Amino acid sequence: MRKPKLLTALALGFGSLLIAATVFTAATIFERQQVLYGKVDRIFQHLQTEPQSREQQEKFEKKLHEVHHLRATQNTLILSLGTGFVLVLLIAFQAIMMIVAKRLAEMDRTRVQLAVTQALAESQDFRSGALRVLSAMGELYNFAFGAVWLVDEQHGWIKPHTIWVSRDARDQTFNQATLSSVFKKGIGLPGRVWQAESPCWITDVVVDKNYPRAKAALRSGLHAALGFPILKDDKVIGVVEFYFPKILPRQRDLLDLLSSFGHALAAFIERMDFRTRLTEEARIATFAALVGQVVSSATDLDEMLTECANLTVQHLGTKFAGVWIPTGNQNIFELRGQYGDTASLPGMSRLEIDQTSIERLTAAETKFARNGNLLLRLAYKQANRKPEFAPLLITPLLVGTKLVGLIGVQQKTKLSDRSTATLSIACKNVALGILRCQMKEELQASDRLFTEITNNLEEMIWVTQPGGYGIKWVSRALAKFFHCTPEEMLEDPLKPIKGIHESDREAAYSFFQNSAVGPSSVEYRQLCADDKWHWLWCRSYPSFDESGKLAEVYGIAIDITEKKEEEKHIQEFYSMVSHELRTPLTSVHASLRIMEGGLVGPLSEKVQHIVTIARQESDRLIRLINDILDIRKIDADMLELKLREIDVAYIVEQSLSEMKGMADSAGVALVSHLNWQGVFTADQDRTMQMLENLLSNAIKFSPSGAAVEVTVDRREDWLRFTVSDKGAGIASDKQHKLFCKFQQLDSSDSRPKGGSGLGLVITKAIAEQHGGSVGFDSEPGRGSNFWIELPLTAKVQTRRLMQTQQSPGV
Amino acid sequence: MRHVDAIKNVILVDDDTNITFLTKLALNELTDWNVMEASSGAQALDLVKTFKPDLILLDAMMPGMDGRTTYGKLREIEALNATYIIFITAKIQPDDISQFCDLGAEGVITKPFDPITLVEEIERVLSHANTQRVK
Repeated sequence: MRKPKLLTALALGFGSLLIAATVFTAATIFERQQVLYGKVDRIFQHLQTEPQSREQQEKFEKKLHEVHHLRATQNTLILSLGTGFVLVLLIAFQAIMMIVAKRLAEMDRTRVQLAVTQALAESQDFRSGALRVLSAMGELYNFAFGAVWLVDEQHGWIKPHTIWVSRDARDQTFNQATLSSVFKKGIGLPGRVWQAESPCWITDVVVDKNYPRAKAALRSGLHAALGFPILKDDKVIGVVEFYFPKILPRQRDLLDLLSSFGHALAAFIERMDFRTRLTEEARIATFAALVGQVVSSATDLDEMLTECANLTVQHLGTKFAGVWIPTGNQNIFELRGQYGDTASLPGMSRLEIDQTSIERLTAAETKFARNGNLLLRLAYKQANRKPEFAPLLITPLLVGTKLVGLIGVQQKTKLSDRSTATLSIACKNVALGILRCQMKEELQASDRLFTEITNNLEEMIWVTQPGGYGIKWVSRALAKFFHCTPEEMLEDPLKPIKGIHESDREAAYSFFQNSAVGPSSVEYRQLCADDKWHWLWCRSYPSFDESGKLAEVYGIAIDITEKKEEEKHIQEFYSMVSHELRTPLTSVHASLRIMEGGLVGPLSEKVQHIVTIARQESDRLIRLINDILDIRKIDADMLELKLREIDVAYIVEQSLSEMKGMADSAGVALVSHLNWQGVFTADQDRTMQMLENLLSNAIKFSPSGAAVEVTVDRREDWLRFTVSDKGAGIASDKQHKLFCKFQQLDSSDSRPKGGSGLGLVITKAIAEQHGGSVGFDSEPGRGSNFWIELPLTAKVQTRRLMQTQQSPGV
Repeated sequence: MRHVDAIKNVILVDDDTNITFLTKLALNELTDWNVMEASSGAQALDLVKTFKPDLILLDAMMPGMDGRTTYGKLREIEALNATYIIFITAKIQPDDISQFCDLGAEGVITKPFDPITLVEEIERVLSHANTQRVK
C-alpha cells in the first residue's frame, strides 16, 4: 500500500508545481501586459493629439502587435492554468478514492476478522468452527464454494475435512468430487498450496492444467479459486480454498487478507486438538474409574459384565461390546454380558475360537496383538445365507496367564490407541472382577452346601478358637441339643460343659483340654434341657496354620443315647442267651463229670472213653460261649477291667493249675520261671484268662512229652509274661492271620485241637485295654514264644482312644 | 482247717431241679454234708425255718423270687448270720458278678461248674471272699 501513497504525493506535487508555474507565468505576462497597455495608451493619447507620422504609425502598429501577442500568451497561460487546476483536482479525487477504498478494505478485514474470531470462539469442535469460518468468509466475498483440507502425514496426502457451499449453488458435483478426493503434495489447488506453503490464485480452474477437479468445477460453474495455507510453526497442517462463480484475475489484496487467517485457524485446530485430547482423556479416565467401581461393587457376574459392556459402549463409543466367559470347553466362550447394537452380530452367544488365536490373545506381548488386542473376523452363519463376517476387536481378560474371558467390541470408527490401551487396562479390572465373582459364586455355593449340610446333619459340630473354650461356630443341631440358638451358644461358651455327669467329668474335661493337642474322642453323659441324661460321643481334632500354630479345633458330637440303650438291650440279649445255653449245659456237664468221676459206679473202658469225649466237647462248647461273649464285649467296646493289685506268683500258679488237666491229657509238662515276683495293677481274672489262652494254645500245639514254659520278666515299668512251646512253630506267611477273628491257621487244626479261633483276639484286646500289648516270635519247626506285656500300673483305657493313639506292639 | 470242713448242712436253691439233683448226688458222694434242695426262693425261705444251713448255694435267676430278693430275705434271718451264701449263676458279666458281691455274698460260682471239683471251688471262694473270677 506504500506505492499508491507515493504516487498520490508525486501527483499532488507535480500538479502544484504546474499551478505555481502557471500562476507565476500568468503574473509575469499580466505585469508585461500592464506595461504594454500603458505604452499603448500613451501611444493612443499621442496619436489623438498629434498627427500621426508614419514612423509613429509603424511604431503603434508594432506595439499593437506586441499587445496581441501578449494577449495570446495570456490566453494560453489561462488555459494552462485551467488544465493544471483540473489535473490537480483529478489527482486529488483519485487520492481520496484510494483512501476510501483502503478504508473499505480495512472494514472488510475487520468484518472478516470479527466473523472468524466469533466463529472460532463459539465453536465447540473443529468441524463446526471450520464450517462457520468458511461460511463467514464465503458470504462476505460472495464465494460459491469453500473447503478446509487437512494434511494426513501418516498417509502423505491432504484430504477434505469440511466443505461449505453457497446457498445459490445448484449443482452438487463439485461437493462430491471434493469429498471423495485426496491429493498428494503439489497436486491440485490444496496440493499446490501445501507444497508452496503460500497462497495461490487460479484465474480459472476449468482450464488449469494442474487441477484434477476441473470437470466437476465446470459442471458446478466454478472458475476462479484461491487457496491459502493453515500454518502452524511455519508448517502446513491444512489448506483453505474458495471458489468464485466467474473468471477473475488474481486479487492480491483479497488473497493477502484471507491468508492472514491461516494462523488463527492453525491455533484453533491446536486448541481443538488439545480439547479433544483432554475430553478423550477425561472420557477414558471416567471409563476406567467407572469400570473399576462396577467391578469392585459387583455381586452378580452377569450384571457386572452387562454393566461393563454398557460402559464400554457409552464411553469408548463402540457400536457393540460383549463379554464372553469360557465354558467347560476352553475353546468355546459364552456371551454373558452385552450392550449395544447386535443386529449385525447374530449367533454371537457362543464364540468358538481356535487354539492358535487363544494363544495369540494370551501372549499379549506378541506383535500380533498389541496391547493384547486382536481384530478377529468372526464368521457367523445366517439362515440360508453364506457365512458373513463381523470384525470384532477382541481383548483377552487375563489374570496372570489364566484366560478368564474375552471382551469384544465392534468399532464404529477405529479406536484411538489411547482408548485401546485403556480398554486393555480396564480389562485387567474386569478379569479380576470375573475371577472375584466366580470365586464368590463358588464360595456362596460352598457356603450354601456347608449350611445345607450342617443344618441337616444330626451330628453336632463345633469350632473353637485356641485358648480355653471360646466357641467360634456351632451347628444348628448342637444348639438344638442344648435347647437354644447358635447365637446363644456363642454367648455362653461354657454351656456345653455344664451338666456333664459327675462320673464322666474328668474324662470330658481331659478331652476338651487335649483337643488342642491332637485328635481325641470321648463318651460322656450330659444332662439335657429335657432333664434326661444323654450319652454324647465326641471327637475333635485340631487344625494348624502354615506356621504350625494352632488355628482352630473342630469337634463333632453324636447323641449316642439310643445306641447305648440298644447296646444295653443287645448285651441283655447276649446275657440271656448265655444264661439259656449255660443252664442246660450245666446239667449235661455235671452229669458227664459225675459219670466220668465214677460217682455213680465204675464204667466200662468204652463207656468211660465215650463219656470223656462228651465231657470234652461240652467243655469246648462252654469255652466257645465264653469267647463269643467276650468278642461281643470287645466289639461293643464294653470290655471293662476291674483293676487292683494282684500277685504275679498267684495268678501264674492259678493259671497253671487251671490248665493242668488239659496239659496232663496232652502229656505236656507245665513249667514256670518267675524272674520277678511282686504285685502289679491289673484285672486278675482277665490276666489269668490271657495266660490261660496262651497256655491252652501252647499245650494244643505241643507234641506229647514236651514242656510248655511260662516266664515272667520285668523291664522297667513293664511286666512280660512269655509262654513258650516246642511245637511246630508258625510259618511266616501265616503269622499275620494270628490275631484275626475265627482264624485258625490250618483248617485241620480246628477239630483235633478244639479252639474257637478267638483266644488270641480276646487276649490282644484285654492286653490293650490294660495299656499293654501282645506279640510273638516263632520259628517253624522249633516252636513259638507268645508274650503279653502289661504296665506295672495299668490305667483304664477306652478302646476308641486307643484307635486314635498308636497302640504299642501288635 | 479248711472252710468247707466246718460245713455240715447245705441247701441248694435252683429252679432247675436237674442241677440240684446232680449237685446233691455229687456232694453226697464226695462229702458227708446234709444236702437239701429248694426249687425256689420261697421254698428255701420255708426250709431254713426248720433246717439251719452252714452254706447256701443260691441260683441267681429264678422265676418268681429271684436270687437277689431271696438273698435279701435270707440275710434278714438272724439265725443265718453265720451261713455262707454263694451265688450260682449262668450270667457271667462282670456287672452281674460284682452286683452279687456288692450285696455281701461270699462269692459267685458260675455255671456250668464241675461237680467233682465243686468242693474245692467252694473252698476257693470262701478263702478268697470277694475274689471272683470268670470261668
